[in-house]
Amino acid sequence: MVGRYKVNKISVLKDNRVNATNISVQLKVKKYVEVAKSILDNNPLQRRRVKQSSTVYALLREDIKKGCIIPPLVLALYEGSEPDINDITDDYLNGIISSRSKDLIILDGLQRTYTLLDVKKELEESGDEELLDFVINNDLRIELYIGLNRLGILYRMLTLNTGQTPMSLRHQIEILYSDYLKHPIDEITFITETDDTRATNLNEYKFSDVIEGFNSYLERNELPIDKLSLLDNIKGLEKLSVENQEVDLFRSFVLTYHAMVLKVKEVTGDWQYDAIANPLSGNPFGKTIESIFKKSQAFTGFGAAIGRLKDFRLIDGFESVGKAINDLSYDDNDAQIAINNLILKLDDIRNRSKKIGNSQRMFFQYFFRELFNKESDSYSKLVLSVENSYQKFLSQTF
Amino acid sequence: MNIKTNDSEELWVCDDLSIVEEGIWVSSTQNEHLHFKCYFPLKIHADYIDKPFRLYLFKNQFYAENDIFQIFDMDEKVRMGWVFPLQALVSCEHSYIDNIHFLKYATKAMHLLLKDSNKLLDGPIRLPNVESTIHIDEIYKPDDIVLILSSDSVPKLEQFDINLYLPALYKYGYYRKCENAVFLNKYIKENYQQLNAKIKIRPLVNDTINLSYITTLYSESLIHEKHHLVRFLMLYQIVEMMMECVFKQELKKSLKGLGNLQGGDTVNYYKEREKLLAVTKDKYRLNILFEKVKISEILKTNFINETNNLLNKLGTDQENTAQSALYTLRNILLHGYSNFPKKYENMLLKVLFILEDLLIEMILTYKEK
Repeated sequence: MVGRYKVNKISVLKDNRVNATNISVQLKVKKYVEVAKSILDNNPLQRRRVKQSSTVYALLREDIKKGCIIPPLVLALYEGSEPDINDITDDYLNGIISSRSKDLIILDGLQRTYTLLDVKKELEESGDEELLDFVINNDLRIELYIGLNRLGILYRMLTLNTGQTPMSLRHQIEILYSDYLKHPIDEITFITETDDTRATNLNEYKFSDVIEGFNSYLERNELPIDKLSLLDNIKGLEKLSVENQEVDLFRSFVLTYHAMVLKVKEVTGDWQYDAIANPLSGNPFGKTIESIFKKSQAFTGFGAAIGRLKDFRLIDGFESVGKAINDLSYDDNDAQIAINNLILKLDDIRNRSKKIGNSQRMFFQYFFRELFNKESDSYSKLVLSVENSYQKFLSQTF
Repeated sequence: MNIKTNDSEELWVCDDLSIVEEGIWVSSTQNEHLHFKCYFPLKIHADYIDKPFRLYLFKNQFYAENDIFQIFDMDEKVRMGWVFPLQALVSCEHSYIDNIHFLKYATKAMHLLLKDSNKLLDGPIRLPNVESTIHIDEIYKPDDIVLILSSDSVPKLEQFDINLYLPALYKYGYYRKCENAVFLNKYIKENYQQLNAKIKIRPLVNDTINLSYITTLYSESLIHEKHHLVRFLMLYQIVEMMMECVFKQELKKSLKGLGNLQGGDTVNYYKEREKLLAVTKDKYRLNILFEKVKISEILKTNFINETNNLLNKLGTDQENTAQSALYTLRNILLHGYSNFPKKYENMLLKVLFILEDLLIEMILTYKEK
């Protein structure tokens, strides 16, 4: 390793808030820009660059050429266990920066990184070797977090990026659970929008819909809310970290929902829509149990309903819901009537709502609350749940 | 279109709008890094992008997302365009997501809403930051209604005047976009709820009616005014305008009749003189007016019945024609309002609501001959 381009450790501190080690290092700009592109290309958490023609970054470009010291960048090692403090040597740090660049994420300093890369490219293209040499041999400070878990990474990103619009909670959740795209939950697999397939099998779900549903559980709100304040986002993450202590909440959410779909399918005798027996004003919301309950509206209604029942202490958690699902039992006729009625109500909602999607979500939220609330008359009763939830929906909206 | 983001003082001029199968993008030819994606979940059909269309923004208190209607000219029997909530452009939950005709208009509407945003909005498009996606229901109002007309169906689109259609559209609750509080009557809601896929409208064609007054009436006055007496006075001006037309015509006829008389034809002289005297009376002109318009029997019957309910409460004689009911109502309000009992104001309002409907049919069907 060429001594000139080594990473030099300055100090090591323990961040007790996020339970990780924070190491301050100094290195040459050349060392950093060598790995910066790899960091940017390989990390799904990185956001899009912003180029603004006449803002502070244009000024920064010029200042860098004059040898300014830019504020420390903050990086985190994605999926790294906390090292022993005695093992944190310059060589150890060099190894991380050089060979684990694809596991590094920029928590703060994304635009500064782009600016450094821009300056290097500009000077290479202009052929000004002297100035290029001057710039890349300037010193740069970096704070490196090692041992941060995913939640901690997101928390730090939020608190460090106070100058920018925060990432929505939904986006954060998506990133947090993106591992599940590669590793199924029991027999359940997730499909993304980039996959050229639809979630046709019973055990397949569209990842973004599940995320929306889980987000609704955390927010206790079935409506898609992306514009939250920084404080709301942090509170949302903290709520998740508290609940998530002993059990993987996301996993519980998915498995419970899937169990509900399977049970409803079973008790309705695998209901299918009959257009002649049940004419509607337009296409039905869904023609099978799966097509009804695999829609985002059902997911978010379910998530919000369970969240609220939990807040009202009417259920303990997903286990209580699991029990309620097991309690669902009918003769086929009743359950068929219930789903036919559900489709009819959704058709009516489509014709009278100013925002159909939101109205459908609200209706599903009331439906699942009726179905899983032990203190309600409709507990475990599909027919009554459909009827009572619809009346509640009408009273709240029209 | 002009765009401003909350994290910068700059005003971005985005002069490049691209509509391709993969999506709709707004960008700037001056700044290659500025690309804003526009949220449009419907299937893009860009067939009309290069064609001249007209887009107007309306409101309708009674709308629902699924209320997507084709607009037909009642007399020409040709489709002029479509009218639908802005919400229909950002949702896949309504019944028209697979309707290719609608999708062509919807894509064109998106195109115009973006391209003409400088004219349609009060200022630049406001976004949180340069990474933001443009949501059309956030830069416009989510309850805006889009009325979009095609050059193919409205051949003289350049000379087209939407104001001629305001009364016909008002009948179904549509009024030009405005920001202040609105007062609409529930009978309009009934008209609106009877719509099914198509709205048939006709323009004002009679150039003897004061178009400027009619435009103001149906885009401002009736939308904002709550007081029944003021509403009646404003509405009755329509009757006054048409009666003046009747007066001029009948006067011409009488003068012509008098002029044609032979000397010594005393009998016909007195007949023509009586006609001339009659035409100066409101009641006579009102009768003539009702002969020159086409009002549905149901509407006339409703008006007569509701007016008679009110007259009954006031201890006044019942009427058996729409014109006599209108005339009596007019006299009560113009000459006897000081004695009008407050407890019957709701009944009066009901009568006026039906009168609104009746007058729209009058001004749209009035023919001089």
